Amino acid sequence: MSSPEANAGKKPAKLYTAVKVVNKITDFTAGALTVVLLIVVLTQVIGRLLEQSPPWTVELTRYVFIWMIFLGVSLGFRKDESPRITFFVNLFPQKTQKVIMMVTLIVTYGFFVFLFFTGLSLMGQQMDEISPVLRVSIAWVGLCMPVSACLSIFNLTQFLFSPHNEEQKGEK
Amino acid sequence: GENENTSGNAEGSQTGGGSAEGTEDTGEEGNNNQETVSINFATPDPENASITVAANEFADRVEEKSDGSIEVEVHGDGSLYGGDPSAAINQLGEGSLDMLALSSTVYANSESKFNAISIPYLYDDKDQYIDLLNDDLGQQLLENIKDSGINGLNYWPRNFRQITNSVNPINEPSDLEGLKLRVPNNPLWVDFFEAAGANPTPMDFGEVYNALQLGTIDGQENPVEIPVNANFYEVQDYISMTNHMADAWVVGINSEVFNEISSEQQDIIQNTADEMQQWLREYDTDQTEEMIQTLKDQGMEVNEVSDENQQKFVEISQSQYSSFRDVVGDDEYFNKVLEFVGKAQ
Amino acid sequence: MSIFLIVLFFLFMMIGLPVAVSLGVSSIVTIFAFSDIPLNIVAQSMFSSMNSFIMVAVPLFILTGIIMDEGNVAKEIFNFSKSVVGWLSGGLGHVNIFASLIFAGMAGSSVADVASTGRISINAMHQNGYSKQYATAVTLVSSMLATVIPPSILMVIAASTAGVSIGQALFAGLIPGLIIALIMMVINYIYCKKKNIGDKTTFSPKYIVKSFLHAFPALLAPVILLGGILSGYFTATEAAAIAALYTLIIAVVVYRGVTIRELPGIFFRTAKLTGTILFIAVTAQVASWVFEFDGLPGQIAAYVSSVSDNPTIILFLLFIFLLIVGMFMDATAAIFVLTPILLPTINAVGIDPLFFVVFMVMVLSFGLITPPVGVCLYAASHITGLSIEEISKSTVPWMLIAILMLMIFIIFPDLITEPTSWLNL
Ligand code: NA
Ligand code: NA
Repeated sequence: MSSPEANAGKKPAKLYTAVKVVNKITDFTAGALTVVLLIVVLTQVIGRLLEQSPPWTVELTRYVFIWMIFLGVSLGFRKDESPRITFFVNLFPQKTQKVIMMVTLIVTYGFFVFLFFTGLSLMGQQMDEISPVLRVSIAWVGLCMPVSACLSIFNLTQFLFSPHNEEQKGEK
Repeated sequence: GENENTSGNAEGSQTGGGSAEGTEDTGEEGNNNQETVSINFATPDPENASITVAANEFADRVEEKSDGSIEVEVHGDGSLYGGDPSAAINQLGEGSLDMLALSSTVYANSESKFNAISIPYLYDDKDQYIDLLNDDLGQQLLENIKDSGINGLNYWPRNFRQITNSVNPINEPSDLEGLKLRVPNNPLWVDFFEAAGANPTPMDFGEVYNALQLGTIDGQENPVEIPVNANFYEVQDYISMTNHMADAWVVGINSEVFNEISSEQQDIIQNTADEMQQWLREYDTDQTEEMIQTLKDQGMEVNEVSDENQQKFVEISQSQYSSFRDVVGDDEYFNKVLEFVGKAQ
Repeated sequence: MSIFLIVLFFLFMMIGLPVAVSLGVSSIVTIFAFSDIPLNIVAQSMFSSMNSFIMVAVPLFILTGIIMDEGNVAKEIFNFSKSVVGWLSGGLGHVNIFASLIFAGMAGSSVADVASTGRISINAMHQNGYSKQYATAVTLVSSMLATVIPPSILMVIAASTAGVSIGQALFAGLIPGLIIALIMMVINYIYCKKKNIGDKTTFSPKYIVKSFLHAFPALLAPVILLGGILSGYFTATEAAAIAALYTLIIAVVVYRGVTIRELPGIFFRTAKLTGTILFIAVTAQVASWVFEFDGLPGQIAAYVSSVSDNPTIILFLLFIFLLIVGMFMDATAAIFVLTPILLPTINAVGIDPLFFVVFMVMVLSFGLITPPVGVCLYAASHITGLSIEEISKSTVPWMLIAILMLMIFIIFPDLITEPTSWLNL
């Protein structure tokens, strides 16, 4: 993993550390959301069995779930894991494949830029909407979309410049 | 918010184009100059549910009165907003829905005063409920949603909510003791039923049928058409006419769509929305009798709550007024509503 | 406008754009080109798509699968299966199928089955006189069980998209799954006996008891899961959390295949995998909105009803359609895109939506093992080093049998819907 960074200057090394920190934070948050989700659903079961159902379980579950999904979406782009069909592309000659790959990259970037701005605008609409039990603004839930869009762009770029991807290019 | 989608799925209705196509200067009068507008009208429930029946009736009337210059396409079952009620309000305000009938409890998430409509045991009877909706107290709330680009045409009434369960008939508060009752995520429900001794349980509506069947929960509460349409009678023994709470359909139209049509067309839409209030009330009354008969035929036991016991429930609700006051979020408004229904303390 | 969207979607998908992004972009372009609807609807639909409690079962089933995979549970299942059916003719073939059957009762994804019990089965079969091709074919076909038998991620997705009770849909897969497993074992028996291939173990009650005790905590998982739902302790969605907690405990405490230190990584991978899978659901909701706005589901229902009002004929047509779709499209994506479009048709011709959901999942799970687009097929190729062509060739006879089995369910739909009522569901 370290080869391209090792022979690079000081600046890229700093950049590399920053990238690692962002990755760590998102990974930790995504994992933590999984745990919270599990605990909240279990709380719902236990609460009902003990005849002391907390009213917030269904609501909190949904909000944690949405955040988890949208963070998860962005994580799928760090190593290009989002399902795609390469069967047809592979039928083309190498050069054409590269052009097609560029097109798909640009379209994917465009999609997330679009998602970022419409996500922000949706948050604007959600600002005044207060969740019935937890009394939080739904905009906090909607925030997951612009965040996911940013992280997807971030991860997509990371993949583009990752050593793994360089290797692939080298082989070709 | 509570907008129960019943089990069945609406057949996808066909739609024409979309929002009002740019009409020219509105100064012109007379049918000949009116451009044809196509309006989509979304409801949360399937085709056979009363709100969707009413929306279709509204569509027919408007088309007839406007000589076909207003076409209304009804999309039931929340299909035009992915079944997410909060999304529906946003879409209506922003223009991807033209018209919408949605429960006042959903609007309450952004205008908390709508909660006042659903205070438990607020009304003496249905007349008083409709009077409140039509009073300035109700109408001013429709004004308040104008900011989000929604023209609130009027309220359409909804049946009061009843409790079904498989433990015992609910005649008085003590019958609720320890009952695992599925309620919507809303402090009005949770606080009231907790105070009444029940164990209010939050659960996604999609899981309620199986949960009732397998005894995960004992009961649920909804307007009478829900146990009928969602086949709860197959898995519930008792329906108690507790009439404990109400909500209302807020019928709204996107402001831009409304402003772009001719004033004559505006009048037709407004007047028809107004007259549908009475129509739906009568329709629901007829339907309720039929539905209760259906539930009896399916083996459910139906019981009414006596006036005396009703008063016990009212007192429990009153004991929670301080909490309801917070939920409504406006002391003055809360007091005025209590005054209007004669329950000021 | 629907046609435009569909054509654009296939174009984008074929040039290798991620499936979810293809759906999203083609929807955005369509809305922009054909209507004056504000594009905010895109973000709103995407948000709403995940604002659902029912779908929460998906990450929880995924978590269970990952824990089992890392917790050496598959090995215990394999050993137990070997003791129970390994002594029959075609022994390890039966073991392969039987292990998948047990795995199916604990985990909800076919790929996970191929990667865990499948991997072990293929190696064992290969070392004991079965050809790699045959071992892989059996592995692939039996991996369908994981999707059909509860718990099942695809079943949860299909039921929640169709508005069918997920409890009912999950249980409805149980009997068909058992029938499929039985037929597969019969075929394996006949084939191996005829060709006289494969070693068999000796029947040993002592070995059965020993391996049973080892596998017992794992075998208890389906019992807790299904028993808990049926006895009303928890709902089907909540059961997913109970299952995750239970496998977590046995993997860490009993089998010690997972250490506490590894847990953060497992939770992280759960979020990533769930997001990657459900991303398709997120953008499919936008496409569904366009279809509904355009009136497509109603038009299709009207058209199909005009062709025939015989449910069996309609189901045969749908069967062929879904088979083709399943070959080219990811099963999850197909469910999200097609369910809202087809449901009005199903209702119009009077097919039980519960039957439709289970049937659709069975047909699409078949698509997981067929070329050119089949995740299980690719997983098997990865494990065995065999090419897609080699595997596909050896799977053909099994595929024909699977198609025949699916047709049985069209002719006898009660096989799917009736057992749920025995369970009082
Ligand atoms: Na399974
Ligand atoms: Na197998």
